[in-house]
Amino acid sequence: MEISLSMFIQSLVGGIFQGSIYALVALGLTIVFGVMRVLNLAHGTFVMLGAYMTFWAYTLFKIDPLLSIILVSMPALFILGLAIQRWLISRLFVIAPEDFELMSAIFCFGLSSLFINLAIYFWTADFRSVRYITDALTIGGISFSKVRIISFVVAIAITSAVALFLKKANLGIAIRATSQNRNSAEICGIPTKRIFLFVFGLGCALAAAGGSLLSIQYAIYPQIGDDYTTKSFCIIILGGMGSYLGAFAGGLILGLAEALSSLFIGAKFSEAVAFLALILILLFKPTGLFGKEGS
Amino acid sequence: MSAKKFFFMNILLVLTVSIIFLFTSIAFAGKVIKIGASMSLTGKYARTGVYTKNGYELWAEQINARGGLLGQKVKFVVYDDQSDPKKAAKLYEKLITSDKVNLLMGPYSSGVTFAASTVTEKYKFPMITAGATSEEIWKRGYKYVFGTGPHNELYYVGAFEIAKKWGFKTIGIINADDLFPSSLAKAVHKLAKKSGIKEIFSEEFPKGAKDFTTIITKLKAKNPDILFGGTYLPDSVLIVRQMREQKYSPKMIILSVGPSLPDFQKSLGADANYVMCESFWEPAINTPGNKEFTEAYKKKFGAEPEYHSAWAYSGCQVLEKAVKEAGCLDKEKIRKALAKIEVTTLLPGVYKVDSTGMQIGQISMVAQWLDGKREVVWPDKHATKKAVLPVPSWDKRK
Repeated sequence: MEISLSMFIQSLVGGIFQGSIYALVALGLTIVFGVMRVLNLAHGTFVMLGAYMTFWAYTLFKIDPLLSIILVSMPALFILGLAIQRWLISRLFVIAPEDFELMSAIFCFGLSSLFINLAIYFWTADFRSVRYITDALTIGGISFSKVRIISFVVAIAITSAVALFLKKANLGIAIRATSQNRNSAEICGIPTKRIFLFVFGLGCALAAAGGSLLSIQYAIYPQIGDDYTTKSFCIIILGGMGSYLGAFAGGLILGLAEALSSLFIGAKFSEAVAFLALILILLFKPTGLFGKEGS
Repeated sequence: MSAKKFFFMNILLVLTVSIIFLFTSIAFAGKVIKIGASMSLTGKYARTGVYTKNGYELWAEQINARGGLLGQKVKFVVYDDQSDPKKAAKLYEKLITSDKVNLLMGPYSSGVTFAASTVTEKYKFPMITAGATSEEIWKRGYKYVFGTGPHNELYYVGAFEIAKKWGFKTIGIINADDLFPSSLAKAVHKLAKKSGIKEIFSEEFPKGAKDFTTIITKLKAKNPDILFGGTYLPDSVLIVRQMREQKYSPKMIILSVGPSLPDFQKSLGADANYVMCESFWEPAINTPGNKEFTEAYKKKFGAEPEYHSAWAYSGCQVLEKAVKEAGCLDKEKIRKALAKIEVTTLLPGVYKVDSTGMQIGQISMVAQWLDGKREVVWPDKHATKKAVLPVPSWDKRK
């Protein structure tokens, strides 16, 4: 079919909106991997938990979904992340320091399965959604869904805040130092154990923020996070494992690639694009677009 | 009597009493008809699986209150298959060989039934499905699996009758790339061809897609009179939301699965209006026993029944009739009965199967969301409202 300019722009807009959420979620995954070397296969599950936090805060206490990102879902998942790191993952590090990457990946996989089934048990497999702002602005024949504009702004704001924090704040610098070299960081007096605690909490909180934004656009259900785990992995491999800029750019690239491929080739193939990109990157630039050689 | 003798007498007495208890309980157990099924109580079909199980349970409770089947009480043996076809196949093997159940009912969903029926066929054990419609199940020449719901190709017969009446000429078909939605899309494609409605757009999207901006942009450019979407609930909700955002309004909107659930309206509010969908059953239709069923269900489970429960209950009604017709629990006799009987159930048509066991007597009604309620608009016999078409454009809605 013939593709007009307005169709093209409309797809670009859709892709950027979608990509901003991908970027937010992938940022959490990349920080955790970069600093702790944990392949968090439960990342999408934290997206799901964040989405439910916002849903319940809205349904039970009438808390505005946007407010609940800051007040409910991010803090709750931050604390959950702390607890998981403090009592579970840190033990793995003691038990199996050699196979830590593999063990932690398997552990997270199990954890994800546990949380999903608990969610099904307590909250049922019902689809739920928050009815939030549903109208759209139309500018020059291109429609901008209000809820997506808001999500975009919030996702970019949180992502920039985290980037700024990592760049400027003392704790942020300590986190980057730990991610570059754990031993040296420790010698310099950085309490890496506490850094790990904070980082895993932060990773979960970022996933939760993504989930909250998802809950105002889409019907949520216990398995909704699975997609985000795989897509986030594609994004951080695309951008470079552990690279913050890479996660951000990778997220937007994936969003745009999905939108444009569904415009030009067909929606059916939009999902394949992520994996095609993954394979190409692994073959030709295994460190990713923004990854450093040898990291 | 010496103390020792007294002691032995006591032991003897206790033994005798326990043996009597044991025998009576075995004898009693023998009088219960065991009906086996695996059900998706957890996993991706958990919700609908539980609705199906509720339908089975309600029927069992009621038939026991009426004096049972062939004068014996019935009891369901249900295991959780976790919505996994492989697990279901194993569970049916267990139900048949180790639990030695007398009768079988089907699991939930076409995929799970497809796998489970390979086992029941092997043991020549008749199974009534009350949660599966894909014709693939009945295309394998099996003799022991019987359908109770309208199969895929009958879903939208009514919708096309309506479309023709309104003189709609073109259709756009979109669907998730999953077995069930794509087989619905195929059926719609056939129906469109038969009704002389031209298909001017068709596209598949990945199951679980979270953005329809591009598809809707394309649809808007092609602008077909009718939009058909082979969807599940989350896609159907998102499609309607994004249609509104882009102010895209075809003359007739038909979406599968999603609009047949109350959550569709809860998620969309007034935007749900005018969307049409298939309907196997509604609480308001006038089939024998339907009102009583709805009331009993509400009393037992504290919620309005969904069509899955009514369908499951109807499946059991078919089982009841077949066993009565056979007059015993002999599997061959029951199979023969299932192949020839016609049964009126809670569903709008009549239970009737062809030589493969596929359902041919049931129909699917057409429902439309109007003023926040799901109304039956086809067939006239069960209609609660007249269809409102063409769908008004978004800015003309209240």
